[in-house]
Amino acid sequence: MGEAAVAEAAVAKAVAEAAVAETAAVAAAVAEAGPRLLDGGILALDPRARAGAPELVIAPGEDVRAHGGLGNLAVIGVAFPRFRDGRGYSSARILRESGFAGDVRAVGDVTLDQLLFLKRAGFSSVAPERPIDPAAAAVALARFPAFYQGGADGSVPAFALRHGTGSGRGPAGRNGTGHDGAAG
Amino acid sequence: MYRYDAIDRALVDARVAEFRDQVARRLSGALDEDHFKPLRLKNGLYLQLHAYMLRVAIPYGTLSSRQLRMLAHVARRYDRGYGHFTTRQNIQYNWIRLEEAPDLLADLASVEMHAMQTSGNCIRNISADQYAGAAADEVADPRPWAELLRQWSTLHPEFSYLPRKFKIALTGSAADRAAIRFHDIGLQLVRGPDGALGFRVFVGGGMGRTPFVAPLIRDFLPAGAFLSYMEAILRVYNRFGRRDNIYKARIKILVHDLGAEEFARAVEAEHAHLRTLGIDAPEAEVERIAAFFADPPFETGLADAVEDGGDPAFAAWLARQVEPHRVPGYRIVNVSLKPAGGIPGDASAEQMEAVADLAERFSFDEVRVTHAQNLVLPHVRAADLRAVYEGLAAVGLAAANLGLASDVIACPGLDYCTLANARSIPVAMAVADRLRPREAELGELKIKVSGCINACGHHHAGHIGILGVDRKGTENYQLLLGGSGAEDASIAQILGPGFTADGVVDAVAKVTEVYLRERRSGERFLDTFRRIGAQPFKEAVYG
Amino acid sequence: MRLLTGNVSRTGEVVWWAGDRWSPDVADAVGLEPAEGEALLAREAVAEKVNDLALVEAEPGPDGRPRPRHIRERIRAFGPTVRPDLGRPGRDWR
Ligand code: SF4
Repeated sequence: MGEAAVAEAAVAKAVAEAAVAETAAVAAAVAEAGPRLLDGGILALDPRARAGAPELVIAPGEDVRAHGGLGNLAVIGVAFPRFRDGRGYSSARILRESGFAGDVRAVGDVTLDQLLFLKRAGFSSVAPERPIDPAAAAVALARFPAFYQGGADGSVPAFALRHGTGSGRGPAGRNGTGHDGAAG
Repeated sequence: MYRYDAIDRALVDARVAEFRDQVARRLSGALDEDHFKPLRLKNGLYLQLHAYMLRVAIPYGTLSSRQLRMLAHVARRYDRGYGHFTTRQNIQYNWIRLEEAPDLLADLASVEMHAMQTSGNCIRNISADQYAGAAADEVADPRPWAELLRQWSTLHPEFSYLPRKFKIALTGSAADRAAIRFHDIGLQLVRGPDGALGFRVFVGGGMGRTPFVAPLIRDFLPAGAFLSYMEAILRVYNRFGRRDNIYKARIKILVHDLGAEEFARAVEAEHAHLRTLGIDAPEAEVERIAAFFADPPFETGLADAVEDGGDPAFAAWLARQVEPHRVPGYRIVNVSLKPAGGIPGDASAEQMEAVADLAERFSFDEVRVTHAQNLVLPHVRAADLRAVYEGLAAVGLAAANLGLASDVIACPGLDYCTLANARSIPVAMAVADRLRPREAELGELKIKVSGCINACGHHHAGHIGILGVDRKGTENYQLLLGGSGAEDASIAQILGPGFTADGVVDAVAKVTEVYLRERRSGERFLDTFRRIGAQPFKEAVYG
Repeated sequence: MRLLTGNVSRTGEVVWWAGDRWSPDVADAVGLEPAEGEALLAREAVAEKVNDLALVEAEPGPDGRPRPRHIRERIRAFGPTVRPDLGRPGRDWR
């Protein structure tokens, strides 16, 4: 590694460390606020979670884009008949990308080990087949101080932390750091 | 080489802590095997025939001396003194104890390595041309893009429960040394008409039960839209890839069923949407990563000539193992892990340390792993070649057989692998032994052996491929001819009924005789096969 | 005749059911009748100390002791055939 690269790495490191500290603070705040149990064993992952049954449940093979006028709904369920079937992650992100601001709920075979992926894909609540302990969920959700990708839960991509770009929003935030043409 | 910053480090450390906790819960009985298995697999820990096997990611096949020394330490401390380099540029250890796995991962993390996503239905370790940054024929260095992909694909919120595993390979040269067209996504860096950097994007290649050479789905993807385009491909796959049949779940089946054009249309439509969402890394990030891959301080004005000093063994090694470098006075050195009597791709802790020392002294601290299960010292001064040769010879790694008949690729097969139908390694060794006396005369001949249809030994891409099958409880081998994993990619065809282990070695010898008889001047085995077809080979083997 | 085998969860080591305990040496393995084997397998599966439990076909070997019929299980009993230096002394995969 050349000297210029060393200097650049040092700067990046300083920025990153500050960003990690900031993210850790956010994570701590989140951990304090939730996750929490709603009625019926529903685990709320963020403030968009609502009590009550979903008005619509999207099946794994269903095209979420085929539904119109979802903006008025309070709770949309996304079914996970088996946890290995990951189509629901795309459905949730597509809902968030379309601007849906209500509760998106993962329903079915979801366990502690999927929670972090679910939350980052835009799910705001889960209705698991077997109950999930909110304390264990809090630990699982706070495990990682940062991620490489932006999340539909508002978490920022590592490159935004490193370069201070964007408003700290993930794909749902339309922060528009995309660019064209030659790079590198 | 890329170096971790606080974010990279924190992520890997958190992962080790998480796995330590999961292993503790498993050992205490709080977690049963059913629930633990997917968790250990996500950390590359398989249960194989004899013990746990750990697959460690070597991102795009690039190692520093320090990292290679750590791999040697792991071999000695946690295993039985050796490791196996795989066709995806990773390393596998065969004798790992579950209770020690968290310590092992912590040791790896101390040199910025991990085993994340080396198993499971997720985006696997990214592979790339082993000559990256050194090749005389390189358009652009693929490593910064591979690192960008490594980061983008790690713990991806949407793509961690894909229909099946997903493998991406990159090259920056027209010559394909990374078998990109046998990957789920193959990427070739190119310059556009205006000189701008971009990618040719191939999707839907693969081996296994239904091999495909990936079709081109985008002729020029501007570099600035790289990640959003990858995201579009993965989203189309995640949503529409088959999940009802494990044998039809790879993206190659989706691409084949839709047709390349229809698939490309779906990706373009998704991309039009995704590219507006801030997924692409800003130029500053691309530059930050690229800076880690800046040239080492090459000397200028070096003499470019190499003297063999009249030593025929050294001369043969120079002719076979050494490739041109883009900087005058330097060479790329290929280190064969296929010595006579050796297990293809295996290296002892001592050998790893010896190569690490040579890299430190003579190759700016860099080592590469190749998909052909060899190692590379990418930046060696011409004047240092003799010293490197002697250093390799001292640990039995000075074989001069790159691309020749004894440079056989072999998966672990039934000696280690729980999915195997037959042993690969002894057959590979027997074929190498049989052909070694004539290998110079035979010229470039890529022989690849797999122990089952999963094709980890790339038998479909072999000029000669050997596939182990189970025939009524005994090991049996099919012979395939005419494959290529290079830029002239093609799929090998089964010649006819299978053989015993001894029988397939004889059959390989016979097909090489047909080649020697039929070849025209300048033709490789593959060229002759393509010209004359399978029939003369069939007659020689079965007639 | 069948043998009950698996890998120890904690270490991954190959073991064989030896009548009253698990043994790493196939020479200690006891031949089981089908019903007996199934019952043992079910019991040990619940105990969770050994993974990937399986009943494998066996036949009397040259020394009169039961030995696995399939080469896969003989390799498990012996070790990788290409590394006899790591194999179990006194055992043969052939
Ligand atoms: S090809 Fe089959 S036998 Fe060989 S390593 Fe892969 S799964 Fe195992």
